[in-house]
Amino acid sequence: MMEQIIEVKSLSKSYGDFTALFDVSLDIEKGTIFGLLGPNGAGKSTLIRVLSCQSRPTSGHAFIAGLDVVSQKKDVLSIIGVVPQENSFYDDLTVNENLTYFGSLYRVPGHEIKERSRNILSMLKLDEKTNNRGGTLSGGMKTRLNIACALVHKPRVLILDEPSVGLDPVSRQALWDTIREVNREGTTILITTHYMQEADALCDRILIMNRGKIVVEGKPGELKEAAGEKVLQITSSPGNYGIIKSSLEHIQAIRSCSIGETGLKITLGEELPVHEIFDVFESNGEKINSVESSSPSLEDVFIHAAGEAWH
Amino acid sequence: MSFSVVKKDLKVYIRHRKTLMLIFIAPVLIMVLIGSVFSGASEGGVRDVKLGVGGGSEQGKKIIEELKSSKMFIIIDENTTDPAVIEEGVRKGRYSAGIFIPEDETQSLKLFLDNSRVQIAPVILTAFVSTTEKMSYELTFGFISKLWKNLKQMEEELKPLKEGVVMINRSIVGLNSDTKKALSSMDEIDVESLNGSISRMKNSLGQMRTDLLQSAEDINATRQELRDLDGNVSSIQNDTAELRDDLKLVVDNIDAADASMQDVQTQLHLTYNLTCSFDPSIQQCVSMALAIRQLRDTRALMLERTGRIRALHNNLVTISQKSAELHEKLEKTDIKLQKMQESISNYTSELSNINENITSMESAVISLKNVKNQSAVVSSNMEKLAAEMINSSSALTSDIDRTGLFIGEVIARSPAVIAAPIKLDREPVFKGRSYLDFLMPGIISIVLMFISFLLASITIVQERSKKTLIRTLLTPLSLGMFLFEKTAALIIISFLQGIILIVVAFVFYGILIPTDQLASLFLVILVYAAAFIGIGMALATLAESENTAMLLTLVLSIPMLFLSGVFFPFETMPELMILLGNALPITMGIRALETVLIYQKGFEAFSIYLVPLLAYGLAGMGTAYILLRKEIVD
Repeated sequence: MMEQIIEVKSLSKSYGDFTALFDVSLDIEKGTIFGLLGPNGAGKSTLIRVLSCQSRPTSGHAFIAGLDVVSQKKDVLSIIGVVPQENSFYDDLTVNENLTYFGSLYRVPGHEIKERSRNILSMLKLDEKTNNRGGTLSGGMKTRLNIACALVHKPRVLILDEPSVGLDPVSRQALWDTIREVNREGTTILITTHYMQEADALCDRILIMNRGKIVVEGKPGELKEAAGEKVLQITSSPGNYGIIKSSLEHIQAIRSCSIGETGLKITLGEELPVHEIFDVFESNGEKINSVESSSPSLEDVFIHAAGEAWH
Repeated sequence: MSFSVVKKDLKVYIRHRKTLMLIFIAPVLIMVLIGSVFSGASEGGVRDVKLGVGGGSEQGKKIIEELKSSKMFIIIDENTTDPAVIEEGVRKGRYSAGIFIPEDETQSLKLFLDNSRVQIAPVILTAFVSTTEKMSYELTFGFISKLWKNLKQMEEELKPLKEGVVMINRSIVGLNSDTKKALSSMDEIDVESLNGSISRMKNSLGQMRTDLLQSAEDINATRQELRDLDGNVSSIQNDTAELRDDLKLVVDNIDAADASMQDVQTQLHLTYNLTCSFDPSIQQCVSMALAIRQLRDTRALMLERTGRIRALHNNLVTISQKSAELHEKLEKTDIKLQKMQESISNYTSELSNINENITSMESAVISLKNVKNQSAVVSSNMEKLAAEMINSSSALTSDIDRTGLFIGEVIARSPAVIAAPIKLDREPVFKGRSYLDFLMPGIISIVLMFISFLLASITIVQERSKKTLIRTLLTPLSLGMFLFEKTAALIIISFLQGIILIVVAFVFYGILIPTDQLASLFLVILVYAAAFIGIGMALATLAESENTAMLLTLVLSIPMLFLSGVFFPFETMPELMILLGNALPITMGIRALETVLIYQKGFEAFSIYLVPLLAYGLAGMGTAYILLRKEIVD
């Protein structure tokens, strides 16, 4: 059996009347990339704050490598690396100096910092920029330096809070490569994202949250399979999707129906009542422009599990 | 403890050019600027103040000359006799002050001050007050010196005056006794008998006069007789002279004959000697010798006969001389008689005069009677006067003595003491120290306040806004340790600034801080900087952005500057502001630095300021800690 590096047990966190986390329990295996998904306000950041000792849980416990995040805060902080969403390093210090600084905060001996920095920078392809000041790096490099700063003390767990926000596709791809590389080194990675695609591409396991509760947890493939749904994406003109949606909901085979940016998204069970659907369009005076059929995505998984659209 | 934050912060400060400027250039600039501005004030004071001048008098000219020599004023002469012109000049800003000097020196000068120029108005006023005081002193001093000289002279004159009074007193006493004596003498005079004597004198004089006139006539007759006698003598003298001349002729002839016979005798004798020396017996020689003898005998006989004639002649000469003498005597007698006549005439006139005098004496005797009566009155008055005089003169002498003493006492005091009864000798206790020495505490405090305040707030705000704070706190480093290290880095900066300020003070202004004070100085700098770093950190946690932090520090530091007593003294502030000012950390820092740098006291003296400063620092850091903790951990 794989070793659990993170254990969360019945964790709740309330801010006054507002409950940000409600009875959350989860285990994360060592050496995996674990994705925490959910829309804004789902409770991902609160969970991350608790795990990184920034927030005390109202009830329940959380352990990292067996260490209690509340009572053994200092020990926990020395074995985790947290990469904030925004780049947070010193623009006036060079890449090396930034690493040295953060390394020294973890009380890593100087020679170890040097060696570790060399390896990290090489791995993150920053080895040519060691003496460049942080402020002078390109966007992608800054993101990599931001991660590097959390790796210099060789953490057992690396927590990344929505690292790909605002990145162009190329940079995002590079980031993913970096994360995979770090993971290959043996570091367990906990990543929060609201990009389904990112979680799909990166994570060994994912946990979808909504309104402070766990919606579903598992490997991406398993979840999609469990959802077992087909999706039809239909665009029509003039596109009065509201009227069509209410008519379609009467058809039994249709599990859910949502209005998206690219038309009407219809989730189906095993049956495919294509004629009935087309009839509804026709009877409402809609001319079908395109029909796309696809397997369920994680978003579909979410919609399926949470019973509501991703927002 | 690895002091990672300290090292990192120092590195960041050095890398960040603007911060570096702020840290190292600002103290130099502030020091040089403030130092230069204040050293101007200390060296020459206020200069080139425009001063309008109107009116004029001799005294006024002196005042203007005095003011001109101070170089404080540029004199603008308005040539006006109207003070309103000067006032208008000040009101319109043509000059910062105006002085109107009335022609009548008893009137006061009028100073119009532009009191909108709050900094220099009191300086101008002080300059005028001290100038007029100085001149008043000089005038009073001159006047009193002159007065003193006169008083001294007067004092010297009082002694003879006193002696004079005593002498007068004595004279009056004498006079009084003399008057009395005179009065008693007058009593002795018998006027009646005087009258009798006088009439007797008159009679005698009349007799004398008659006798004298008779004598004069007798003398006249005698003189006539004498003149006749003199005529006879003269004729005798003439006759005798003729006879004498005749006899003279006879005698001369006889003498001539004798001389001829002597010649013959001499010739014969020579011939005899020549021819008869060898044989005198020869005839011729015997005849010759006989002839010679005859001749000799003849001559002797002739001489005998002529002797009587000669005696007669001589008698005639004597008679002639005697006649001449008699004539002379007669003449002299006549002259004497003439003089006697003149004397008698004089006596006669003199007797007339005497007679007149006696007549006067008669009337004088009558007056004497009256005088006697009056003298009695005078004597009694004189006695009274003498008594009074004795009293008043003794009072006068004691007054003179008192006056002398008083004058002595008065002039024993120096005119300077009277001209300026209260003198003030300024004795600055910090000798050999420049004005800048005294400004050093203020300058150091201001520089450290700004830099510590700004850097502390900026560094925290930057850490917050860049999210490096949160990231740092996601390491095992605690928030308390983080703040402590931040403070340590800023204290190092403050120390560096302290060194810069000391070097600048020495290089630019030659101020040398004693080495034994350096430890105290840096201790004060440490605590003072810590106080502002603490407050700055607290402000930074309250501020949302760098701009807000900057504004907050400025909003706090500028009023602190004005309430610190550096620019405006506490003595001019209302009580509430004094309380507030005294409670400010900048004031405490200045006081502590003054204690170290100026009063050079020991630790006990300045520690009373260090304790509240430390409290400020700790309170600031405590606030920052609490607020940041709340922000970071929930």
